[in-house]
Amino acid sequence: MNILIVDDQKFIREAIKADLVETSVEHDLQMFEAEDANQGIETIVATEGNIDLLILDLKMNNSDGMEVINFLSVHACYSDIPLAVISSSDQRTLELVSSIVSSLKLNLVGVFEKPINVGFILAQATRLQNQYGNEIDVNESVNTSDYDINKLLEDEQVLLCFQPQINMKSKRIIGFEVLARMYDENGYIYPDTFLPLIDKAGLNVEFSMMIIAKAFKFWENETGVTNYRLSINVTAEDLICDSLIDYIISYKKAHTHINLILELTESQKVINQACVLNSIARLIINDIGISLDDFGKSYSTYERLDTIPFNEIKIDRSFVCDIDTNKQHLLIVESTIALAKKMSVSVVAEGIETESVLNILDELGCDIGQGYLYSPPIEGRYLKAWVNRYVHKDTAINEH
Amino acid sequence: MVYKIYSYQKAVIMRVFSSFLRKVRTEHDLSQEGLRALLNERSHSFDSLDTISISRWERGINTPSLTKQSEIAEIFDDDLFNIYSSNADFVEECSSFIQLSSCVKNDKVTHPYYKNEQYYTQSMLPEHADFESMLELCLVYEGNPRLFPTRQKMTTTESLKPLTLVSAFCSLNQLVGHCLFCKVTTKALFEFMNSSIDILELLNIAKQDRANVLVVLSSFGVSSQIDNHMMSVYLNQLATDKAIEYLSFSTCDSKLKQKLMQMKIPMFKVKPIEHQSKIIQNYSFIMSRSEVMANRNMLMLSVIPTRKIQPTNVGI
Repeated sequence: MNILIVDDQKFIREAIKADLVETSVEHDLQMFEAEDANQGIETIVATEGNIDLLILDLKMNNSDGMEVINFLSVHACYSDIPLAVISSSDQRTLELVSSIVSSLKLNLVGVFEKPINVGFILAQATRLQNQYGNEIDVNESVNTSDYDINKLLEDEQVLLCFQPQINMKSKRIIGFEVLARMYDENGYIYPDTFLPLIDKAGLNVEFSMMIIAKAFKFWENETGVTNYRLSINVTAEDLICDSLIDYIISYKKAHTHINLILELTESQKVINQACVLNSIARLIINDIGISLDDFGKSYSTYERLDTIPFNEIKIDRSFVCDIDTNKQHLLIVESTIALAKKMSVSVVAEGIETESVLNILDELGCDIGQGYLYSPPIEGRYLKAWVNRYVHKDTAINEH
Repeated sequence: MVYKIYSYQKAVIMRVFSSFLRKVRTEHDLSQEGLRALLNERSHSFDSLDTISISRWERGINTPSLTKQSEIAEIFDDDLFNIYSSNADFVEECSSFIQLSSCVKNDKVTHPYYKNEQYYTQSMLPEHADFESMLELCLVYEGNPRLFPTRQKMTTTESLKPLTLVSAFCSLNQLVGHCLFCKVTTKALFEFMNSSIDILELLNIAKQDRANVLVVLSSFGVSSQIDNHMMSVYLNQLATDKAIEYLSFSTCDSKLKQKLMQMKIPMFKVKPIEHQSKIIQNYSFIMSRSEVMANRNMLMLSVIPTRKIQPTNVGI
């Protein structure tokens, strides 16, 4: 077993080494040491990544552990080295580092507060390694390439679902978010599967156009829902396409009674382009609302707040769904709601599944809620019936 | 570990739907153009439909996806399960596919004592004398620590009442498969999935409230035939009980998870559970009735009335 210890303090390295020798059941223990990030990286390269456990100090005298983490993340051949981060930083920093490392898809054994228990780290590493091996076996079956995305789009094998957005105070329906499904002769195909294929085929804008056109057509013909707000997802890439913007604006002009809001996702890179901001301005002038989707998920959201005159923030479901048990998420949601209040924009919380999450959001002053607690996405043909049931207080959530 | 998709022939699905289409068109006195106009008016899925396609559907040259079929059926106040389950040929074919799949070569039966012989199934309610011991075996297989309260001694038969356990036995009464499920409300189910309530509270709610979701807690068979058979039990339940709007799975069995993912069912969430210093993953799935019926494998399994699968079947 090869173990690399990166720590600037010699006595810590010695202590870890001594503990390792004492706790490890393996006799063939080879230990490497490095006193800063550069030396650590050199050792990783020199051993060709043949490291079974990398113990990395986060804060060192003339460098920091993040350099090593970044190095592992950009060199795929090293990204599966089992990594144990050790630090004397506070709990919040440790959690932050832990979430960064997980999002970089590194093979994280854990983030450990000093003083550390080497035996525990070693046991954890061994246990995870066994699990890691099994997991790969199980995942091999997921195969997305058996769809001909061009053919599916050509045949318009697309279905619209709608998920309600509810005013948390009055319990009234505000509107619905359009969610697309595709299908073939075997069953439904979900966005996780088809969006990457559409992206790969370069058909993003065509797809958005199709969804928007179908949603418009549905909304104007479906009496009983037309008065609710229609919320449609667009990407910044869509906003570069003038013909799509023209289409949306001309539709809105022809149907002024339809309350339309676009939920905008996508990277900062595209958003800051002048033409995107120009499109957003045109939409707003024409009374089409802009909602910042997946708020909190991207690192650059605060910059977006600064540049885009939006009407609404949507907090991503990954933060919302466990605020009753996850303190970090609660803090993020709480401060996002406070921020929205200060900026006088409304805030939608996605991913509400339980009553306790609903109650917390309500106390925090969240305006609009969305999630499986109200309803899973509803297929267009059942929407009217759902609205009738909800309005007549007949759905589960409304019984209380 | 490869799960076999049934070697299905499109022909039967086509025949069933084309005869349905011809029938409703005659009954409603519609021309092909009239049908096209009606579908076009009723659903955006038929925006670009033409009479040529309708003619091809009726002659069985081509067939729309199950998703479209289901929309058409509903426009005529019918549903896919009705149409397909009332076609004897189709049901016959589906049941024989399940049985065939176990005879195919290389279909490894990894079980030490089960060698593809006859088996029988038995549905057990909590009052049944063997319920407790069979539930115990089922829970041991499933390994979901969240279900363990149901085997505590203090748990009364009464509190387990909403559970349905179906077990499959081969000769010598050896257990070769099982499925465990119950009908609850979606609201309670999401509370359960998020660990806000435990299994006994879930079952307690199931007794009082109008159920709208069937949740499968374990489903397993030693051969793919028995595995499919067990799945058909609850799919058939769902199909015949029209009050049930959703199908859900909450399982720690990675084999079942894999099977569902191969059937292209999206995972709703994974929640790690810590149990005796081990981390166990709890996988949840949820799909609407129309998603179930548009899934070819699930539709095929749902139309099989349970007694149809094996002549030696008893109990259901």
